[in-house]
Amino acid sequence: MTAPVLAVSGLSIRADEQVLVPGLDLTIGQGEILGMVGASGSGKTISAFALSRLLPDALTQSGRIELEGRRIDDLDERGMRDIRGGRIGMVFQDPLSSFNPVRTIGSILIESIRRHQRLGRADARRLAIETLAEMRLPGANASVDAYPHTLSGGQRQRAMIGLALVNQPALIVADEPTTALDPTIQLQILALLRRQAERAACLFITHDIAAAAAICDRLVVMQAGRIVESGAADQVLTRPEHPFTRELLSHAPGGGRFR
Amino acid sequence: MTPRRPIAPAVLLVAGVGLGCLLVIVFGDVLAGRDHRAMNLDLRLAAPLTRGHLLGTDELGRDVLARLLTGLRWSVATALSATAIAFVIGTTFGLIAARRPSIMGESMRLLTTFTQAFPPFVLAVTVIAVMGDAGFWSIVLTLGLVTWPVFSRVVYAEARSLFQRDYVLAAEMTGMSAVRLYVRHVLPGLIPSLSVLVVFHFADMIVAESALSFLGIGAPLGAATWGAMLSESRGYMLAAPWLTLAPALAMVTLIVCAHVFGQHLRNASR
Repeated sequence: MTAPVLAVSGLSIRADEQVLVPGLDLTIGQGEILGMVGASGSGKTISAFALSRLLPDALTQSGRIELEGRRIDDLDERGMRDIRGGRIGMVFQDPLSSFNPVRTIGSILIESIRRHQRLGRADARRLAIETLAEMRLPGANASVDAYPHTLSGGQRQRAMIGLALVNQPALIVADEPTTALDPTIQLQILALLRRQAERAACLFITHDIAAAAAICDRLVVMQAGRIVESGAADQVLTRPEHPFTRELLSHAPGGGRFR
Repeated sequence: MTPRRPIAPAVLLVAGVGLGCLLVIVFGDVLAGRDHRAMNLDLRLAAPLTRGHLLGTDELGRDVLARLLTGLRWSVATALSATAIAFVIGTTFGLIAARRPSIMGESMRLLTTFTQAFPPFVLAVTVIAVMGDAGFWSIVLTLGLVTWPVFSRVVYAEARSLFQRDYVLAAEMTGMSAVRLYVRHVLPGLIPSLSVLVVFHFADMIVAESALSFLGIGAPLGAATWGAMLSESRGYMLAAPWLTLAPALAMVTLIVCAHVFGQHLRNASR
Protein backbone atom coordinates (compact mmCIF):
# COMPACT_ATOMS: atom_id res chain seq x y z
CA MET A 1 0.00 0.00 0.00
CA THR A 2 1.27 3.44 -0.87
CA ALA A 3 1.61 6.19 1.71
CA PRO A 4 -1.68 7.87 2.62
CA VAL A 5 -2.45 11.31 1.19
CA LEU A 6 -3.56 12.59 4.55
CA ALA A 7 -2.31 11.33 7.88
CA VAL A 8 -3.51 13.00 11.04
CA SER A 9 -2.35 11.91 14.45
CA GLY A 10 -3.27 13.30 17.83
CA LEU A 11 -5.10 16.33 16.47
CA SER A 12 -6.61 18.14 19.42
CA ILE A 13 -8.60 21.34 19.47
CA ARG A 14 -9.28 23.40 22.54
CA ALA A 15 -10.99 26.62 23.48
CA ASP A 16 -9.14 27.98 26.51
CA GLU A 17 -9.61 25.27 29.11
CA GLN A 18 -12.27 23.34 27.28
CA VAL A 19 -11.15 20.47 25.08
CA LEU A 20 -13.39 20.14 22.02
CA VAL A 21 -11.47 17.42 20.21
CA PRO A 22 -9.15 15.45 22.50
CA GLY A 23 -7.08 13.61 19.94
CA LEU A 24 -8.02 12.60 16.45
CA ASP A 25 -6.26 10.08 14.24
CA LEU A 26 -7.15 9.76 10.58
CA THR A 27 -5.64 8.51 7.37
CA ILE A 28 -7.04 8.80 3.88
CA GLY A 29 -5.48 7.17 0.83
CA GLN A 30 -5.48 8.12 -2.83
CA GLY A 31 -8.94 7.74 -4.39
CA GLU A 32 -10.50 6.98 -1.06
CA ILE A 33 -13.51 8.71 0.46
CA LEU A 34 -13.54 8.76 4.22
CA GLY A 35 -16.92 9.61 5.70
CA MET A 36 -17.02 11.42 9.01
CA VAL A 37 -20.46 11.13 10.53
CA GLY A 38 -21.86 12.39 13.79
CA ALA A 39 -24.40 14.70 15.30
CA SER A 40 -24.10 18.48 15.17
CA GLY A 41 -21.49 19.72 17.61
CA SER A 42 -19.51 16.50 17.59
CA GLY A 43 -16.42 18.30 16.27
CA LYS A 44 -16.62 17.31 12.62
CA THR A 45 -16.51 20.75 11.09
CA ILE A 46 -13.84 22.23 13.35
CA SER A 47 -11.69 19.18 12.67
CA ALA A 48 -12.06 19.85 8.95
CA PHE A 49 -11.08 23.49 9.37
CA ALA A 50 -8.16 22.47 11.56
CA LEU A 51 -6.73 20.53 8.59
CA SER A 52 -6.35 23.83 6.75
CA ARG A 53 -5.41 25.58 10.00
CA LEU A 54 -8.33 27.97 9.64
CA LEU A 55 -9.85 27.77 13.11
CA PRO A 56 -11.40 30.90 14.65
CA ASP A 57 -9.08 32.95 16.86
CA ALA A 58 -10.58 31.57 20.04
CA LEU A 59 -9.64 27.95 19.21
CA THR A 60 -6.17 26.46 19.26
CA GLN A 61 -5.06 23.22 17.71
CA SER A 62 -2.16 20.84 18.17
CA GLY A 63 -1.16 17.52 16.70
CA ARG A 64 0.53 16.22 13.63
CA ILE A 65 -0.95 16.69 10.16
CA GLU A 66 0.81 15.19 7.17
CA LEU A 67 -0.31 15.90 3.64
CA GLU A 68 1.35 14.01 0.79
CA GLY A 69 4.08 12.91 3.18
CA ARG A 70 4.86 16.47 4.26
CA ARG A 71 4.09 17.96 7.65
CA ILE A 72 1.83 20.97 7.41
CA ASP A 73 1.00 21.51 11.08
CA ASP A 74 4.21 23.50 11.58
CA LEU A 75 4.11 25.45 8.30
CA ASP A 76 4.04 29.23 8.53
CA GLU A 77 1.06 31.25 7.31
CA ARG A 78 2.59 31.86 3.88
CA GLY A 79 3.15 28.15 3.37
CA MET A 80 -0.38 27.37 4.51
CA ARG A 81 -1.81 29.80 1.97
CA ASP A 82 -0.17 27.76 -0.79
CA ILE A 83 -1.77 24.64 0.67
CA ARG A 84 -5.25 26.15 0.95
CA GLY A 85 -6.93 25.97 -2.42
CA GLY A 86 -3.77 24.49 -3.91
CA ARG A 87 -3.36 21.13 -2.17
CA ILE A 88 -6.59 21.17 -0.13
CA GLY A 89 -9.86 22.05 -1.80
CA MET A 90 -12.88 22.68 0.34
CA VAL A 91 -16.56 22.30 -0.48
CA PHE A 92 -18.83 24.21 1.86
CA GLN A 93 -22.28 23.40 3.08
CA ASP A 94 -24.18 26.34 1.65
CA PRO A 95 -23.05 27.23 -1.87
CA LEU A 96 -25.18 30.37 -1.94
CA SER A 97 -23.56 32.06 1.01
CA SER A 98 -20.13 30.72 0.06
CA PHE A 99 -20.01 32.74 -3.14
CA ASN A 100 -19.61 36.48 -2.86
CA PRO A 101 -22.99 37.80 -4.06
CA VAL A 102 -21.48 40.73 -5.96
CA ARG A 103 -18.89 38.70 -7.86
CA THR A 104 -19.35 36.32 -10.76
CA ILE A 105 -18.70 32.61 -10.33
CA GLY A 106 -15.90 32.80 -12.89
CA SER A 107 -14.08 35.65 -11.15
CA ILE A 108 -13.86 33.60 -7.96
CA LEU A 109 -12.51 30.58 -9.83
CA ILE A 110 -10.05 32.67 -11.82
CA GLU A 111 -8.83 34.32 -8.64
CA SER A 112 -8.07 30.92 -7.15
CA ILE A 113 -6.46 29.62 -10.35
CA ARG A 114 -4.18 32.61 -10.65
CA ARG A 115 -3.29 32.34 -6.99
CA HIS A 116 -1.93 28.84 -7.45
CA GLN A 117 -0.97 28.43 -11.08
CA ARG A 118 1.14 30.57 -13.36
CA LEU A 119 -1.55 31.32 -15.88
CA GLY A 120 -2.54 34.45 -17.74
CA ARG A 121 -6.01 35.88 -17.42
CA ALA A 122 -7.27 34.31 -20.64
CA ASP A 123 -5.81 30.88 -19.85
CA ALA A 124 -7.21 31.00 -16.32
CA ARG A 125 -10.61 31.81 -17.73
CA ARG A 126 -10.38 28.91 -20.14
CA LEU A 127 -9.46 26.58 -17.30
CA ALA A 128 -12.39 27.91 -15.24
CA ILE A 129 -14.81 27.16 -18.06
CA GLU A 130 -13.28 23.70 -18.60
CA THR A 131 -13.59 22.94 -14.90
CA LEU A 132 -17.21 24.07 -14.76
CA ALA A 133 -17.99 21.96 -17.83
CA GLU A 134 -16.33 18.99 -16.18
CA MET A 135 -18.60 19.51 -13.19
CA ARG A 136 -21.50 19.11 -15.65
CA LEU A 137 -22.61 22.65 -15.06
CA PRO A 138 -25.02 23.35 -17.92
CA GLY A 139 -23.84 26.15 -20.18
CA ALA A 140 -20.43 26.52 -18.57
CA ASN A 141 -19.55 29.22 -21.08
CA ALA A 142 -22.34 31.42 -19.80
CA SER A 143 -22.19 30.34 -16.17
CA VAL A 144 -18.66 31.60 -15.82
CA ASP A 145 -20.05 35.13 -16.03
CA ALA A 146 -23.15 34.38 -13.95
CA TYR A 147 -23.77 35.75 -10.48
CA PRO A 148 -24.42 33.15 -7.79
CA HIS A 149 -28.07 34.10 -7.26
CA THR A 150 -28.90 33.38 -10.90
CA LEU A 151 -27.91 29.71 -10.56
CA SER A 152 -29.93 26.97 -8.90
CA GLY A 153 -28.77 25.35 -5.67
CA GLY A 154 -27.46 22.28 -7.46
CA GLN A 155 -25.66 24.36 -10.08
CA ARG A 156 -24.08 26.44 -7.36
CA GLN A 157 -22.84 23.36 -5.57
CA ARG A 158 -21.37 22.09 -8.85
CA ALA A 159 -19.57 25.41 -9.21
CA MET A 160 -18.39 25.14 -5.59
CA ILE A 161 -16.98 21.67 -6.22
CA GLY A 162 -15.35 23.10 -9.32
CA LEU A 163 -13.76 25.80 -7.18
CA ALA A 164 -12.46 23.18 -4.78
CA LEU A 165 -11.00 21.07 -7.60
CA VAL A 166 -9.78 23.71 -9.99
CA ASN A 167 -6.16 23.47 -8.85
CA GLN A 168 -6.20 19.66 -8.68
CA PRO A 169 -5.75 19.37 -4.92
CA ALA A 170 -4.51 16.24 -3.19
CA LEU A 171 -7.27 16.40 -0.62
CA ILE A 172 -10.90 17.39 -0.98
CA VAL A 173 -12.70 18.33 2.21
CA ALA A 174 -16.45 18.37 1.74
CA ASP A 175 -18.30 19.76 4.74
CA GLU A 176 -21.97 18.75 4.55
CA PRO A 177 -22.02 19.39 0.79
CA THR A 178 -25.53 18.05 0.31
CA THR A 179 -27.32 19.35 3.40
CA ALA A 180 -28.65 22.50 1.73
CA LEU A 181 -29.92 20.66 -1.36
CA ASP A 182 -33.09 18.76 -2.15
CA PRO A 183 -32.92 14.93 -2.35
CA THR A 184 -32.71 14.42 -6.12
CA ILE A 185 -29.98 17.03 -6.44
CA GLN A 186 -28.21 15.46 -3.47
CA LEU A 187 -27.78 12.22 -5.41
CA GLN A 188 -26.35 14.02 -8.43
CA ILE A 189 -23.89 15.95 -6.29
CA LEU A 190 -22.84 12.76 -4.49
CA ALA A 191 -22.25 11.06 -7.82
CA LEU A 192 -20.18 14.02 -8.95
CA LEU A 193 -18.09 13.94 -5.77
CA ARG A 194 -17.61 10.18 -6.09
CA ARG A 195 -16.37 10.59 -9.64
CA GLN A 196 -14.09 13.52 -8.89
CA ALA A 197 -12.64 11.93 -5.78
CA GLU A 198 -10.94 9.28 -7.91
CA ARG A 199 -7.91 11.46 -8.42
CA ALA A 200 -7.64 12.73 -4.86
CA ALA A 201 -8.34 11.80 -1.29
CA CYS A 202 -11.64 12.96 0.08
CA LEU A 203 -12.90 13.71 3.56
CA PHE A 204 -16.66 13.73 3.47
CA ILE A 205 -18.34 15.23 6.51
CA THR A 206 -22.02 14.71 7.09
CA HIS A 207 -24.68 14.02 9.66
CA ASP A 208 -26.68 12.29 6.94
CA ILE A 209 -25.67 8.69 7.24
CA ALA A 210 -27.54 7.78 4.05
CA ALA A 211 -25.36 10.18 2.06
CA ALA A 212 -22.28 8.70 3.68
CA ALA A 213 -23.49 5.20 2.84
CA ALA A 214 -23.88 6.18 -0.78
CA ILE A 215 -20.32 7.18 -1.52
CA CYS A 216 -17.88 6.41 1.31
CA ASP A 217 -15.28 3.66 1.40
CA ARG A 218 -14.63 3.96 5.09
CA LEU A 219 -16.49 5.64 7.90
CA VAL A 220 -15.58 7.18 11.22
CA VAL A 221 -18.32 7.97 13.68
CA MET A 222 -17.72 10.99 15.90
CA GLN A 223 -19.28 11.72 19.23
CA ALA A 224 -18.21 14.61 21.46
CA GLY A 225 -14.94 15.08 19.58
CA ARG A 226 -13.93 11.43 19.68
CA ILE A 227 -14.05 8.69 17.10
CA VAL A 228 -16.25 6.07 18.66
CA GLU A 229 -16.29 3.67 15.76
CA SER A 230 -14.42 3.29 12.51
CA GLY A 231 -14.09 0.77 9.76
CA ALA A 232 -15.13 -0.10 6.25
CA ALA A 233 -18.42 1.58 5.35
CA ASP A 234 -20.26 -1.75 4.83
CA GLN A 235 -19.16 -3.06 8.14
CA VAL A 236 -20.07 0.05 10.13
CA LEU A 237 -23.45 0.32 8.49
CA THR A 238 -24.47 -3.33 8.71
CA ARG A 239 -22.81 -4.39 11.94
CA PRO A 240 -22.51 -1.28 14.09
CA GLU A 241 -20.78 -1.97 17.36
CA HIS A 242 -21.06 1.27 19.27
CA PRO A 243 -24.48 2.18 20.70
CA PHE A 244 -24.16 5.72 19.29
CA THR A 245 -23.70 4.36 15.76
CA ARG A 246 -26.80 2.22 16.21
CA GLU A 247 -28.70 5.25 17.38
CA LEU A 248 -27.57 7.26 14.35
CA LEU A 249 -28.61 4.43 12.07
CA SER A 250 -32.00 4.02 13.70
CA HIS A 251 -32.78 7.69 13.03
CA ALA A 252 -31.86 7.46 9.37
CA PRO A 253 -34.65 7.10 6.81
CA GLY A 254 -35.35 3.42 6.05
CA GLY A 255 -34.50 2.36 9.58
CA GLY A 256 -30.83 2.00 8.86
CA ARG A 257 -30.96 -0.71 6.20
CA PHE A 258 -28.24 0.08 3.70
CA ARG A 259 -26.79 -1.84 0.84
CA MET B 1 -31.76 44.26 -13.49
CA THR B 2 -33.93 46.04 -11.02
CA PRO B 3 -35.99 48.88 -12.42
CA ARG B 4 -34.64 52.35 -11.75
CA ARG B 5 -36.38 54.23 -9.02
CA PRO B 6 -37.64 57.67 -9.99
CA ILE B 7 -35.46 60.47 -8.66
CA ALA B 8 -37.10 62.33 -5.79
CA PRO B 9 -37.47 66.13 -6.15
CA ALA B 10 -35.52 66.58 -2.90
CA VAL B 11 -32.57 64.84 -4.48
CA LEU B 12 -32.66 67.17 -7.46
CA LEU B 13 -32.71 70.12 -5.08
CA VAL B 14 -29.78 68.71 -3.17
CA ALA B 15 -27.90 68.08 -6.38
CA GLY B 16 -28.55 71.70 -7.35
CA VAL B 17 -27.26 73.01 -4.04
CA GLY B 18 -24.25 70.73 -4.26
CA LEU B 19 -23.46 71.97 -7.75
CA GLY B 20 -23.89 75.56 -6.56
CA CYS B 21 -21.49 74.96 -3.70
CA LEU B 22 -18.97 73.50 -6.11
CA LEU B 23 -19.24 76.58 -8.33
CA VAL B 24 -18.75 78.84 -5.32
CA ILE B 25 -15.76 76.86 -4.15
CA VAL B 26 -14.10 77.11 -7.53
CA PHE B 27 -15.18 80.62 -8.58
CA GLY B 28 -15.99 82.14 -5.17
CA ASP B 29 -13.98 85.32 -5.60
CA VAL B 30 -15.44 86.08 -9.00
CA LEU B 31 -19.02 85.37 -7.92
CA ALA B 32 -18.79 87.58 -4.86
CA GLY B 33 -17.57 90.40 -7.02
CA ARG B 34 -15.41 91.96 -4.33
CA ASP B 35 -12.81 91.23 -1.69
CA HIS B 36 -14.33 89.83 1.49
CA ARG B 37 -11.74 91.73 3.54
CA ALA B 38 -12.37 95.16 2.03
CA MET B 39 -13.83 97.50 4.64
CA ASN B 40 -15.96 100.53 3.93
CA LEU B 41 -16.52 102.45 7.12
CA ASP B 42 -18.93 104.84 5.39
CA LEU B 43 -21.24 101.97 4.57
CA ARG B 44 -21.52 100.03 7.83
CA LEU B 45 -24.48 97.74 8.58
CA ALA B 46 -26.06 98.43 5.19
CA ALA B 47 -29.26 96.44 4.68
CA PRO B 48 -29.48 93.65 2.11
CA LEU B 49 -30.17 94.69 -1.49
CA THR B 50 -28.17 97.88 -0.95
CA ARG B 51 -26.56 98.79 -4.25
CA GLY B 52 -23.49 96.60 -4.72
CA HIS B 53 -24.14 94.58 -1.57
CA LEU B 54 -26.76 91.90 -2.22
CA LEU B 55 -26.74 90.68 1.40
CA GLY B 56 -25.75 94.01 2.97
CA THR B 57 -22.61 94.82 4.94
CA ASP B 58 -21.41 94.14 8.46
CA GLU B 59 -20.26 96.41 11.27
CA LEU B 60 -17.01 97.18 9.44
CA GLY B 61 -18.67 97.69 6.08
CA ARG B 62 -17.48 94.36 4.68
CA ASP B 63 -19.66 92.68 2.07
CA VAL B 64 -21.71 89.88 3.70
CA LEU B 65 -22.11 87.88 0.49
CA ALA B 66 -18.37 87.84 -0.14
CA ARG B 67 -17.74 86.76 3.44
CA LEU B 68 -20.45 84.11 3.19
CA LEU B 69 -18.96 82.58 0.05
CA THR B 70 -15.44 82.65 1.47
CA GLY B 71 -16.85 81.03 4.61
CA LEU B 72 -18.39 78.25 2.54
CA ARG B 73 -15.00 77.43 1.09
CA TRP B 74 -13.47 77.31 4.52
CA SER B 75 -16.31 75.19 5.94
CA VAL B 76 -16.27 72.66 3.12
CA ALA B 77 -12.48 72.43 3.08
CA THR B 78 -12.16 71.88 6.82
CA ALA B 79 -15.14 69.51 7.00
CA LEU B 80 -13.90 67.42 4.06
CA SER B 81 -10.36 67.21 5.40
CA ALA B 82 -11.48 66.39 8.93
CA THR B 83 -13.82 63.71 7.57
CA ALA B 84 -11.00 62.27 5.49
CA ILE B 85 -8.67 62.07 8.49
CA ALA B 86 -11.32 60.52 10.72
CA PHE B 87 -12.20 58.12 7.89
CA VAL B 88 -8.64 56.96 7.29
CA ILE B 89 -7.76 56.52 10.97
CA GLY B 90 -11.09 54.98 11.91
CA THR B 91 -11.37 52.62 8.95
CA THR B 92 -7.80 51.36 9.19
CA PHE B 93 -8.10 50.77 12.89
CA GLY B 94 -11.51 49.15 12.59
CA LEU B 95 -10.35 46.78 9.85
CA ILE B 96 -7.23 45.68 11.71
CA ALA B 97 -9.24 45.17 14.87
CA ALA B 98 -11.86 43.15 13.03
CA ARG B 99 -9.21 40.80 11.68
CA ARG B 100 -7.70 40.12 15.09
CA PRO B 101 -10.51 40.82 17.54
CA SER B 102 -8.82 39.20 20.50
CA ILE B 103 -5.70 41.40 20.51
CA MET B 104 -6.40 44.45 18.37
CA GLY B 105 -10.11 44.58 19.12
CA GLU B 106 -9.43 45.03 22.79
CA SER B 107 -6.92 47.81 22.28
CA MET B 108 -9.26 49.54 19.85
CA ARG B 109 -12.07 49.37 22.38
CA LEU B 110 -9.78 50.92 24.98
CA LEU B 111 -8.70 53.75 22.68
CA THR B 112 -12.18 54.54 21.42
CA THR B 113 -13.60 54.45 24.92
CA PHE B 114 -10.80 56.70 26.07
CA THR B 115 -11.43 59.13 23.21
CA GLN B 116 -15.18 59.07 23.56
CA ALA B 117 -15.10 59.35 27.35
CA PHE B 118 -14.39 63.08 26.96
CA PRO B 119 -17.09 65.34 25.59
CA PRO B 120 -15.81 65.75 22.03
CA PHE B 121 -16.05 69.50 22.15
CA VAL B 122 -14.10 69.90 25.35
CA LEU B 123 -11.49 67.54 23.97
CA ALA B 124 -11.24 69.50 20.72
CA VAL B 125 -10.85 72.80 22.59
CA THR B 126 -8.15 71.29 24.78
CA VAL B 127 -6.23 69.80 21.85
CA ILE B 128 -6.31 73.09 19.95
CA ALA B 129 -5.23 74.98 23.03
CA VAL B 130 -2.29 72.61 23.44
CA MET B 131 -1.38 72.85 19.74
CA GLY B 132 -1.25 76.59 20.21
CA ASP B 133 -1.75 78.24 16.86
CA ALA B 134 -5.17 78.27 15.31
CA GLY B 135 -5.17 77.45 11.65
CA PHE B 136 -6.47 75.12 9.01
CA TRP B 137 -4.36 72.08 9.89
CA SER B 138 -4.74 72.36 13.64
CA ILE B 139 -8.54 72.41 13.29
CA VAL B 140 -8.64 69.62 10.75
CA LEU B 141 -6.28 67.39 12.71
CA THR B 142 -8.12 68.03 15.95
CA LEU B 143 -11.54 67.26 14.51
CA GLY B 144 -10.19 64.16 12.81
CA LEU B 145 -8.41 62.90 15.91
CA VAL B 146 -11.41 63.50 18.13
CA THR B 147 -14.05 61.93 15.90
CA TRP B 148 -12.40 58.87 14.29
CA PRO B 149 -14.10 56.41 16.69
CA VAL B 150 -17.33 57.04 14.76
CA PHE B 151 -15.76 55.23 11.82
CA SER B 152 -13.76 52.62 13.68
CA ARG B 153 -16.82 51.41 15.57
CA VAL B 154 -18.98 50.99 12.49
CA VAL B 155 -16.16 49.46 10.43
CA TYR B 156 -15.21 47.11 13.24
CA ALA B 157 -18.76 45.86 13.71
CA GLU B 158 -19.48 45.50 10.00
CA ALA B 159 -16.13 44.01 9.07
CA ARG B 160 -16.44 41.47 11.86
CA SER B 161 -19.76 40.31 10.54
CA LEU B 162 -18.33 40.28 7.00
CA PHE B 163 -15.41 38.18 8.18
CA GLN B 164 -17.84 35.62 9.44
CA ARG B 165 -19.55 35.41 6.07
CA ASP B 166 -19.10 32.07 4.40
CA TYR B 167 -17.81 33.64 1.21
CA VAL B 168 -14.94 35.39 2.98
CA LEU B 169 -14.00 32.11 4.61
CA ALA B 170 -14.36 30.35 1.26
CA ALA B 171 -12.04 32.95 -0.30
CA GLU B 172 -9.53 32.49 2.50
CA MET B 173 -9.79 28.77 1.83
CA THR B 174 -8.51 29.39 -1.70
CA GLY B 175 -5.26 30.67 -0.23
CA MET B 176 -5.81 34.42 -0.41
CA SER B 177 -3.70 36.68 1.79
CA ALA B 178 -5.32 38.89 4.41
CA VAL B 179 -4.69 42.02 2.34
CA ARG B 180 -6.32 40.60 -0.78
CA LEU B 181 -9.17 39.31 1.33
CA TYR B 182 -9.76 42.87 2.51
CA VAL B 183 -9.49 44.50 -0.85
CA ARG B 184 -11.51 41.98 -2.83
CA HIS B 185 -14.13 40.76 -0.38
CA VAL B 186 -14.42 42.87 2.76
CA LEU B 187 -14.02 46.49 1.62
CA PRO B 188 -16.60 46.24 -1.18
CA GLY B 189 -19.08 45.07 1.42
CA LEU B 190 -18.38 48.13 3.55
CA ILE B 191 -18.93 50.72 0.82
CA PRO B 192 -22.69 51.20 1.35
CA SER B 193 -22.53 51.99 5.05
CA LEU B 194 -19.24 53.88 4.79
CA SER B 195 -20.50 56.22 2.10
CA VAL B 196 -23.56 57.07 4.18
CA LEU B 197 -21.39 57.60 7.23
CA VAL B 198 -19.03 59.90 5.34
CA VAL B 199 -21.88 62.16 4.26
CA PHE B 200 -23.36 62.41 7.75
CA HIS B 201 -19.94 62.94 9.25
CA PHE B 202 -19.29 65.74 6.79
CA ALA B 203 -22.45 67.50 8.04
CA ASP B 204 -21.34 67.02 11.65
CA MET B 205 -17.92 68.45 10.85
CA ILE B 206 -19.49 71.59 9.32
CA VAL B 207 -21.30 72.18 12.60
CA ALA B 208 -18.27 71.32 14.72
CA GLU B 209 -15.97 73.64 12.81
CA SER B 210 -18.49 76.50 12.97
CA ALA B 211 -18.87 75.96 16.70
CA LEU B 212 -15.09 76.18 17.16
CA SER B 213 -14.97 79.32 15.03
CA PHE B 214 -17.86 80.75 17.01
CA LEU B 215 -15.82 80.36 20.16
CA GLY B 216 -12.89 81.99 18.45
CA ILE B 217 -10.63 78.96 18.65
CA GLY B 218 -11.13 77.74 15.13
CA ALA B 219 -10.13 79.87 12.19
CA PRO B 220 -7.40 82.50 12.53
CA LEU B 221 -8.58 85.86 13.81
CA GLY B 222 -10.41 87.93 11.23
CA ALA B 223 -10.99 85.06 8.81
CA ALA B 224 -14.39 84.98 7.14
CA THR B 225 -15.98 81.80 8.51
CA TRP B 226 -19.60 81.15 9.28
CA GLY B 227 -18.88 80.58 12.95
CA ALA B 228 -16.94 83.82 13.23
CA MET B 229 -19.69 85.70 11.34
CA LEU B 230 -22.31 84.38 13.78
CA SER B 231 -20.14 85.29 16.70
CA GLU B 232 -19.46 88.84 15.49
CA SER B 233 -23.10 89.46 14.64
CA ARG B 234 -24.31 88.85 18.18
CA GLY B 235 -24.14 92.50 19.14
CA TYR B 236 -26.20 93.62 16.15
CA MET B 237 -28.86 90.94 16.14
CA LEU B 238 -31.73 93.43 16.39
CA ALA B 239 -30.21 96.27 14.40
CA ALA B 240 -28.91 94.11 11.57
CA PRO B 241 -30.51 90.65 11.70
CA TRP B 242 -29.18 89.71 8.25
CA LEU B 243 -25.71 89.43 9.73
CA THR B 244 -26.96 86.50 11.82
CA LEU B 245 -29.46 85.12 9.35
CA ALA B 246 -27.14 84.86 6.36
CA PRO B 247 -24.55 82.46 7.84
CA ALA B 248 -27.19 80.64 9.89
CA LEU B 249 -29.41 79.94 6.89
CA ALA B 250 -26.42 78.99 4.78
CA MET B 251 -25.31 76.49 7.38
CA VAL B 252 -28.80 75.05 7.80
CA THR B 253 -29.17 74.67 4.03
CA LEU B 254 -25.84 72.91 3.65
CA ILE B 255 -26.48 70.54 6.54
CA VAL B 256 -30.04 69.72 5.54
CA CYS B 257 -28.83 69.00 2.03
CA ALA B 258 -26.07 66.73 3.30
CA HIS B 259 -28.60 64.85 5.40
CA VAL B 260 -31.11 64.49 2.58
CA PHE B 261 -28.29 63.20 0.39
CA GLY B 262 -27.18 60.81 3.13
CA GLN B 263 -30.71 59.53 3.63
CA HIS B 264 -31.03 58.95 -0.08
CA LEU B 265 -27.76 57.02 -0.14
CA ARG B 266 -28.91 54.96 2.80
CA ASN B 267 -32.20 54.09 1.15
CA ALA B 268 -30.49 53.34 -2.14
CA SER B 269 -28.04 50.95 -0.50
CA ARG B 270 -30.79 48.85 1.04
